Amino acid sequence: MRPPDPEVPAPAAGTSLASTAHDEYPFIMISTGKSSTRRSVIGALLLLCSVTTVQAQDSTRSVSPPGVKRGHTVRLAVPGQGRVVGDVERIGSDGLTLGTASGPRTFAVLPDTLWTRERSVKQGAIVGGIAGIAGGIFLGVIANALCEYDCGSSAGYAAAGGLLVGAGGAALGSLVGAAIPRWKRRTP
Amino acid sequence: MRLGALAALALLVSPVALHAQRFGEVSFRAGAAIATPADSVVGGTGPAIEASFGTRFGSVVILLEGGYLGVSSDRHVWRYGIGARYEIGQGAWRPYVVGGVGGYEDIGRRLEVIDGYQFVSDMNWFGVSAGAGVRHGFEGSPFSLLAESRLHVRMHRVYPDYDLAKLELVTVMLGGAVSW
Repeated sequence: MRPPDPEVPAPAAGTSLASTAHDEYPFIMISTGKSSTRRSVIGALLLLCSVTTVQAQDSTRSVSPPGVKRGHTVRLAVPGQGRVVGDVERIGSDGLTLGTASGPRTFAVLPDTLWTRERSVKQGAIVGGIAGIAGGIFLGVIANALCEYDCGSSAGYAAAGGLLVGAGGAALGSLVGAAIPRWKRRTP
Repeated sequence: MRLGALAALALLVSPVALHAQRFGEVSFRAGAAIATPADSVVGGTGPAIEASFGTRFGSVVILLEGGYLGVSSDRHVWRYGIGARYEIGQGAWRPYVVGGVGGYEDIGRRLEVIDGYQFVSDMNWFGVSAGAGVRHGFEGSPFSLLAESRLHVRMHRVYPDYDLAKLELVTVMLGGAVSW
């Protein structure tokens, strides 16, 4: 990490979180080269274009966090402020506006970490399916044991029970899981 | 009295938009179950209590529900099933329509006296329910209030009447829900 370059304009208020991004770009090397006037002019021009590019990238990053849409509930890790939870009210050129418990808040730049609130459908289906298969096998074996005549194999009863109850359990589990929220990290 | 009236008025006029993204809810309702007597079928009005677990998808809530409908001291109905609620609008007061399918364990449904002997019979029946209600939410709060009424219709033929779709019960309930 190099010290700040005097030719790089200071970031605007509210964009300090992304200001370190300037240090990561190699184009700055050009502007710190020899003292030739022509090279300085070219360097300054390139720097100007590049800074604009960086700001555009930061802006894009801030206004279009991946997987985030209006109405989503998100959680942000904001340095010095802990975690902020709110519903996305607007994603615009001025940043991400959240409706929080303390009122609307706009974040010009994407903070360190962003999570979205998601449903646990897959987890619910897995848990329900496994429980259903186990219960279905058990019920199938019990049903076979209670059968007195013209009975099939115990394995057949167990397989049928596991399949049927497992499918039902997965369906029920996914429905219940859809009501259970979890945080999914989107960035970084 | 005046405070209560003001509170009721505040509830009526509060321009509340409920939380944008809720995934689930649990609700409890209590009220009355009403059954009209017919032939030897026991009728009456008694206490009822129900609970449900719901998964919300926008304006639609899928419900897993069950409850006790105490028609009379002789007749007790347990019901369980799955249902759906569709809420209309986005305000603090949201009217809704609700329906469901499920099983009804109807204990003491029939009461007959033959030659001085009393016969009580139970029955399990499959039925559907349909109704309407209203939900009131509070700004920034996970709690809401519910009021609803439903018709419960038996969907298979049984003795002593053989109607396919027979209105068995009516429920009128008030309750509350917590959502997340």
